Amino acid sequence: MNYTLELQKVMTEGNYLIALRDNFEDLLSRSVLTIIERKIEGEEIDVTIKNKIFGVVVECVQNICSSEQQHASKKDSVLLIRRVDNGYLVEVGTLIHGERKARLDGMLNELVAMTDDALRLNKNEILSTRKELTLEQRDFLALADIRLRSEGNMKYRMEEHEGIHFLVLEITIYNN
Amino acid sequence: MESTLQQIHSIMNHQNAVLVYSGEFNQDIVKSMLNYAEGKLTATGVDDLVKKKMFNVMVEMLQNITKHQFTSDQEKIVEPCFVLIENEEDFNVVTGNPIRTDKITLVTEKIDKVNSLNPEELKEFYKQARLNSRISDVGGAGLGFIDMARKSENKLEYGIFAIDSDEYNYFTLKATINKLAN
Amino acid sequence: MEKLFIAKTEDTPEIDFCPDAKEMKITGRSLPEDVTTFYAPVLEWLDVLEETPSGHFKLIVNLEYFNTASSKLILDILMRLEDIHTGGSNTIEIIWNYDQRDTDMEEAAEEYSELVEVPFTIVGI
Repeated sequence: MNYTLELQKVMTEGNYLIALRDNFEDLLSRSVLTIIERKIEGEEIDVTIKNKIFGVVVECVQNICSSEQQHASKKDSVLLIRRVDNGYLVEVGTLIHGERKARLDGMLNELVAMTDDALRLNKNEILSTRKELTLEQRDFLALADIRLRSEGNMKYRMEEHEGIHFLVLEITIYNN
Repeated sequence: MESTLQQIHSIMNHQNAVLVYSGEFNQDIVKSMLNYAEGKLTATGVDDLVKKKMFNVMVEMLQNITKHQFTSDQEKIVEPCFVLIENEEDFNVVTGNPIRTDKITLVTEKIDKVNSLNPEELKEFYKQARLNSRISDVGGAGLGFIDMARKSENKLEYGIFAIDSDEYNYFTLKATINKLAN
Repeated sequence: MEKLFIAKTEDTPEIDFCPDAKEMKITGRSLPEDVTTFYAPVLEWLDVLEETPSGHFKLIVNLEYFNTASSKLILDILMRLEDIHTGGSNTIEIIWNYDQRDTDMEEAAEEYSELVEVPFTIVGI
């Protein structure tokens, strides 16, 4: 059980509040939020900041980690929340497969280069179609939402561990 | 270099951990952990009886670390930790908290005693301990451990690890709950 | 027309559509994963409204928070209302209340107001 002490050490050193590893099914996103809400409620933070953290976590759990679940039985995603100077950092890692990897790679590249106005325009265009959203549109909406809510403080990288592709997003929400 | 995310994820992967919480424990946090576990169990589709067992064991263990999270003078030299593990056939509830070095034997003897008993004996021991605790109030007499062992229906496991302190060690406790109700 | 009432839960808002008061209220948080199922009765109710000329209706939104999946459905609702308004069976007015400290929500309301042609009032509370 040495891992308990080890986890405690890593988590304490990095100021992590909580780590969750899951495939984030329906029911769970709600309880993830409950934990986070309870955790940050004790700290006096602005309602905008709280909703930003909330929004980012919901989009990560509902869209980034759970679309195209081909491996729903495995716990493919990890979500970490840590306190940083003057804000919170949400880190999320999720396993992605060939096609989605290529698509997200391109989309993220494009998305981080866009101005806020261009992002909003694209977002509204997708919202205004009166059809069911495609997986690609859902990914775009979620990522655009995360970038806008974090005021541009969204970084991403692709990691490869043990032959598996992992998309990692690092989103910082600052208390103004 | 390995990122912290990778580090944490890799430990969690190897241990089959689904939730790690380290930091202050209070009633609200305990409630939200229970809430999470409940969602988790519902998603896993286990029997209501197993859910109830899990819930009971978690309550006992979480309250235990809430009580023992600080060292004597409300100081914190190490954070308490709560880990929820989902294996193929069972769940583990694992907690870690500081323990005074001179209390180690007392605590481990209680757990060893509890582990040496069969369910019938455990039931009897529980009654006895409850009675004794009323009369003498010798700090629970290990009631908590008896309760955890009874409800989890498995042996408790523990570990003692050195930390950067002369007076304290890190005490970890693990309860196992089978996914299939007996 | 019948009243439509759905009680609020942890992840879905309260829906209170009352034909007598001519008010449609959406209050709370909206973050269900399956938004389509949740909002289906709302859209059905609006279909009936379109067929039932009965006057001037107010949609009163008091949303604390919504996810991107809901944002699409909310726009679907607003667009249905726009259809009804321009179609002439009933007139529609939208009042969107938000916590005045929440600037993201204010922005979201403003964006919606630009996307539909219906009288739209945004109120910081």
